Amino acid sequence: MVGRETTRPMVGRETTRPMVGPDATAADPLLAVADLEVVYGRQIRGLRGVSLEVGSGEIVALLGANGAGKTTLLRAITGLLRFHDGAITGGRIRLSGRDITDAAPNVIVRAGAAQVMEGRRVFGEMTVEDNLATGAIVRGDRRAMAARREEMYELFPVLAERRAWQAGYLSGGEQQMLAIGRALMSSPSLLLLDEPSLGLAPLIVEQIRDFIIEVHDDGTTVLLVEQNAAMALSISDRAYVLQNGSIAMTGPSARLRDDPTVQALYLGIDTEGGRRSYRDVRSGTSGTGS
Amino acid sequence: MEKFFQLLVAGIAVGGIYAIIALGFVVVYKVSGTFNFSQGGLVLLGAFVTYQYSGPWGMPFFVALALAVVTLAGVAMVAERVVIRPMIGKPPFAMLLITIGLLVIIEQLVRSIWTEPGLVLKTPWGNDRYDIAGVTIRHADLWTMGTVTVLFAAFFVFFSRTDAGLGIRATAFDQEAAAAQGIPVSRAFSVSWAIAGAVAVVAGVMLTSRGGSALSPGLGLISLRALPAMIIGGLDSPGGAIAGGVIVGVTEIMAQGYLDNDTTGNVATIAPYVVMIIVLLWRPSGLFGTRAVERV
Repeated sequence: MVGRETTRPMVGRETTRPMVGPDATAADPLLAVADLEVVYGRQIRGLRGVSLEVGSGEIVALLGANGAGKTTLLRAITGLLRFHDGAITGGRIRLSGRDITDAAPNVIVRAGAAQVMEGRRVFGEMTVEDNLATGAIVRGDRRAMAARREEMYELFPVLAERRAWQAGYLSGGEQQMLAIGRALMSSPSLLLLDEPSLGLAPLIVEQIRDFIIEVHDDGTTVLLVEQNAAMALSISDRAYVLQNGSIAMTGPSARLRDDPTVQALYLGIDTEGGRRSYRDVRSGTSGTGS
Repeated sequence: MEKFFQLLVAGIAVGGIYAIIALGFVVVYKVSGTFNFSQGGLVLLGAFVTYQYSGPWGMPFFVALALAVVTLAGVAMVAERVVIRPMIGKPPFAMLLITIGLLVIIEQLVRSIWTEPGLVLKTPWGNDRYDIAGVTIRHADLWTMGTVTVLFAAFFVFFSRTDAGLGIRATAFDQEAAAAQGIPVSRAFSVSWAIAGAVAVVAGVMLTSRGGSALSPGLGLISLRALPAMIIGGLDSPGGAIAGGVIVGVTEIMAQGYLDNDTTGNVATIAPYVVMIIVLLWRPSGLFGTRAVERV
C-alpha cells in the first residue's frame, strides 16, 4: 500500500500549466458551474439549477443517493450527455475561466478536465499499455505519451507488472487504477472521479483513497463523486450534497461529517441510537431538500 | 499434382481478394456495429474509377490506382457522414437496410455512367503467366498475393502503432469511454469508412484482373462472396478475415477445378457457404470472432 509519507518522484506536469495555489481560488475557480439545468430525452429533468465551484488545488466531494444527479453533473461537465440523450438547457460551465458548456468531449479534455467514469470502463480487449496510450491521444505527441506512461507506472507499480495484459483480465482494483492512470495521461488540471470505490473490497478502497491523495499532492485538483461518503469526506476539503437534481447542502467536509442529517443519510450513523432504514431517515429529514 | 498446386496458388490469390473485401466489412463493423452491404458497391465503383483514370483519362496505371484509392476513401467518408452517422443509436436493422440501399444506388450509378459494353481494365501484368515445373502461375495472382500481404501488414501497423488506429480500436470497444479520453469518436467513424473505401479499390482491380480484365457491373454482387469469408473468420476480427478469405478462396477454386466438370450444378459457388455453415455449427462466432451474441 502506498502511504502518504512515501518518497516518490513527482509525477511530471506540463510546464505550460501554471502552478496555482489554493489561495488563487477566490479569484478564478478552476471549475465553475452556474445554475445548470439538464434534461434527459426532452422531458426528464436531470439537474435543476445546480451551482458548484472547485478551486485549484482542492479536493471537492460530491455526495448523494442513487439518481440524485451526481453522474449527470459529471457528464454535463465532460460533454458526455450526448451519449445519454441528455442536453444542457440552462446555465454555464467554465473551466479555468473558459466557457466549456456544450463543448465536445475532446475539447474539454484538451482544456484540462479528465474523467474516470463509473464502472471503470477500461478497454478490455486492449493491453494495459495501449489503454494508457489512449488517454494521451488528445495530446498528439507520442514521445511525451511514452514518458508520461512511465510516470503512471511509477505511480501504479502493479500496472507496470501487468503492462502486456489485456485490461479485461485485471482485477477490479487494478482496473480502477488503470482507469485513473488513463485519465491522468492527458495531464489534466482537474480530475473528475465517478464512484472510484464502487464494488471494491475495503482494503482496495483504502488503496484507491491513498492514490487519490497522492495524485492531489502532485498538483491535480479533484472532484470526487462518491456514495461512500465516509471515504469521500475523509479526504476532501469541501463537499456538496446533491438531492433530486439540486444542491441540498454544502460546506467544509469536516463540518458535514458532524452534521446529523449527513450522518443519518450518508454515513449510516444514527445519533438517536438504534438502526433505521434509509427510507425512514429520508422521510424524516425531508426538510433538507431544495 | 501439378493441377493441385496450380489450384492452390489460384485459391490463395482469390482468397486474398476476399480477405481484402472482408477487411472492409470488418473495419466498419467494428466501429459502427453495422454490417455494411455497400462494401460491394465500393468494390464495383473502385474498379470503374480506376478504369476511368487509367483508360479514358490516360494516367499511368499505378497513378490511376492511387488516385482511385483517394477518391473512394472520400466517397466512403461522405456516404458515412451523410447517411450513416445520423443513424447512430437507431436500430441496427435500419442501418443495415440503408447500406443495402447504398449498394443498389452505387450499382445503378455505375451502370448509367459507364454504359458502353465490353470495357477492359488494362493492368501492367495483363494475362501473363509463368510456367514453373508444369505449374502455371498467373502474374495477376502473384501481384494479388503481394498486395494483400502489404495491405494487411500496413493495416496491422496502423492499428497497433498509430494514435489514429488506437483511437479507432478504443472507439470500437466503447464509444463513450473513448470520448471521455478525448478521442474524437466521429473521426474514428470517418477513418474506418475511408479504409473500407480504399481497400475496396484494390479488391475491385484484383477481382477484375483475375476475371480476365473485363469490367462487370456485377462486381458488387461478386464481392458478396466475401461474406462467408468474413463470417468464417469472425465478424469483428481482421486476422479472421485473412483466414476466412483463404479458406473460402481455396475451397472455391478447388471445387471449381475438381468438381465442376463432373457435376451439372455450380459447386464452386455453393462450396464456401457449405464450409461457412459447418464452421458456424462448430464455432458460432467464427474462428476468431468475439464470442458474443452478434447483432445483424
